[in-house]
Amino acid sequence: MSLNRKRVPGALLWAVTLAFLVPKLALATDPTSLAEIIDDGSTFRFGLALRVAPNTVTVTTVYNRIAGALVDAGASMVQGVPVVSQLAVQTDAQGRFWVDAPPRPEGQPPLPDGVYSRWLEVSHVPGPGARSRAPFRERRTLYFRVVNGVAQRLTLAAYSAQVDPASQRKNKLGSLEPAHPGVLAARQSVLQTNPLPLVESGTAYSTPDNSEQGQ
Amino acid sequence: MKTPLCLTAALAVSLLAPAASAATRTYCFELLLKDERIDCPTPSDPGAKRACHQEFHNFTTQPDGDYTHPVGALVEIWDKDDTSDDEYIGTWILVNPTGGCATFEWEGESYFKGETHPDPYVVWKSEVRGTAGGPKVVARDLANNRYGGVTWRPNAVTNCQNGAACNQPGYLLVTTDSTTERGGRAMSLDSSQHMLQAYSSILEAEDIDMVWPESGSAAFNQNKYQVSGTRGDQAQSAAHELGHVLQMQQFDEDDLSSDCSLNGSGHSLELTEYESCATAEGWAGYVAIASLWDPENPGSAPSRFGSDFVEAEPIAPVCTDNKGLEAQVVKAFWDLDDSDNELAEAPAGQDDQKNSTTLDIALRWGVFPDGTANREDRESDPDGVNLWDYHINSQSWWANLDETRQTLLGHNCMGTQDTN
Repeated sequence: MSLNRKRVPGALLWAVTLAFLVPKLALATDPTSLAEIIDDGSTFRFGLALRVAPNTVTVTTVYNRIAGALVDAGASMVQGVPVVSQLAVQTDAQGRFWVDAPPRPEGQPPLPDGVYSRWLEVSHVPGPGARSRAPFRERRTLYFRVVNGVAQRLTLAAYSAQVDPASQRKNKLGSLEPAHPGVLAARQSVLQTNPLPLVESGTAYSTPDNSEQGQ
Repeated sequence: MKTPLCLTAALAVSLLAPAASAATRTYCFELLLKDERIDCPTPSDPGAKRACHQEFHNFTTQPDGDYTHPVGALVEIWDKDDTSDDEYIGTWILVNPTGGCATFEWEGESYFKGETHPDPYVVWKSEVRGTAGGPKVVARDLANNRYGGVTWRPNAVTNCQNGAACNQPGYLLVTTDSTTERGGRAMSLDSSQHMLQAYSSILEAEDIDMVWPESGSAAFNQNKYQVSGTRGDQAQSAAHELGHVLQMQQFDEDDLSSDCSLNGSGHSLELTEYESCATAEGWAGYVAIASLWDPENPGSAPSRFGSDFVEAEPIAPVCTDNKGLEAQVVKAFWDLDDSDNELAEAPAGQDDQKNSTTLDIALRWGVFPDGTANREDRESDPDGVNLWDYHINSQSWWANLDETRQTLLGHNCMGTQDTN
C-alpha cells in the first residue's frame, strides 16, 4: 500500500476540517490502570482511583535519587534516609482513597539538601477466586528538591535539567544538536566481538583533504 | 585455456594494491541502559522474546541495578580530533544481545583525511530499528525536534590500528537514571524496538516518530505516536501505540473509527466499551504482548494492569458481557496466535484450536475495503469495526475457517458481537 495515496494536496483542507470535527472518536490511546495514581504535581498527597479491592493493594515509596546521588538497587538507607517506605491507604469522607507520601515522615530529621526522585508504587495481588486476575504494579515518579530542609516538587523537565543537563555537539551535517554525556562503567565480563551491520557509511558527509596529515 | 603468467601477475598486483593501502579498522564496544520497566517479562519469565531487566550489574562507581542491551539502537562511530572537527565514520545497528564490533575502511576514505589511525568513539542515537533495513522509530521532543545523541567522546579509543584489538574499555551506559527524560526515552525506544522486531517486515518503510515525554500515550497516524511522560517505564505502552500505527498502516488510514465514549473519555481493559473501541484497543494490546512474549512458548504469561491474557476463562461470567471488553479482545487475538490451545471454559462453549502466526494475523486488517459502510475500515457504527468484520473479511484466507471462528469468536465469547 502506498502511504501517501490518500494524502493528495486537494484533500488537505478537508482533512484539517475533519480532524476538528471528529477528534475524540479517532484518538487511539493507552488503557487506564485499575489502580490510577492521581498526582496534582505540587503536593505530596496522591489520590488513588482503585477498581480493585482496596485490601488487595499495598503502596510503597522507593527512592531512586537522594540528595543528588543515585541509589543502588537493594540499598536500604542512604544518608540516613530509608530507601523504601510503606504508605497507609486512607479514605476520605466521600470514600475516595489517597496516600500521604511526605519526603520525610513527621518527627524525623529534615532531608539533606539536594535533588530527589522517588517512585510511588501501588502493588495489587488478586484475592483468591478472582477471575482472570494477575498481580500488577502501577507506578508514578515524583521529583522534588530540598533547600534548607524544605521540599518543593519538580517537574520531569526541571529534574532532568538539573541532574542531566545537555550540552551541544556537531552532528554529521555540521549542525549543532543537543547531546548528553555517556557514562563509562568498569567491565565485569569479556567483551563479545560479534560483527555489527553497517547502516550508513560516513563517506558522503566528509570532504577529503589532507588537513590532518601526520597525526 | 591457459592464462599468460604475466597477465595473472598483473591482475594479482592490481587486486592486492588497494588492499595494502586501504585497511579496515574494527572497533568493539558494549552499550547498556538502566532498565526499570514494570510490565515486561524478565529473563526468568518463560517466553520472553527479549527480556527487560536483562542483567544485574554491581558497578563500583555507577549505580547498581538492572540494565538492558539496547538491541536495535542505531549508533554512530566518530573519529575524535583535537585540532579540527571530528569525522563521522558511519552508523551501525546493535543486533547482538551483548557487545559488538563495527568494521570500517580507513585509509583513502573521505573521513580519513590523512590521519594515520582513527580515535573512534560511539554516539547513541535516539533511533531504533527492528532490522538493519527496516523502518525506524525516531524519538522527538515536544517541539517535534529530533533528540540528540549520547556521546562518549571523552572516552575515545586512541590510535585504532589495523589488526589490533580496538576494544572500548568498560561498559558504555546510555543511562544510569531511568527517571530522567533521557532515561524514559531510552526505555520507550527499547520498548518500541520490541514491536519493530516482531513486525518490521510488514510495516511501511517510512520513519515513525515517537514523541516523548507527552501528557498521555496515543497514536495519531500511520507514522506518529506519543508516549506519556509517566509511562516510559511501561513497555506495553509504546508497543500498544505502535499496534495502532500498524493497524492504520494496514488500513492505509491516518486514524481509526474507534469509539471509546461509552463510559466517558478514555478506556480501560475491563470496562465495557463500544465494540469498535474494544476491538481497536484490544488489537493494540495484543500487539504489545506479542512484541514482548513468544506466542509459541506455552509458558508465556502476558498480563497488564491485572488482566491475565492467557486465562482460558472469559473475563465476564455472562458471555455477552465480554463483547465490549478490550482485555477479552486481547485474549482472542492471543488465542489465535498462541500454541497453547485450551479447552473451552464457561461461559464460552468452544475450544481454542488455532495456532496462526503473528504476521499473518496482522496482515488480515489489510483486506478491509476503504469506506464507512459495513465491513469497511472506517465503518461509522460505534460497534462497527469488530471481530466479526475481521473474521468475515479475511475468511477466504484461513486454511481452517472453523478453527479460526471457534478460537477467535466462540472461545472468547466474541461471537456475541454485532454481526454487521
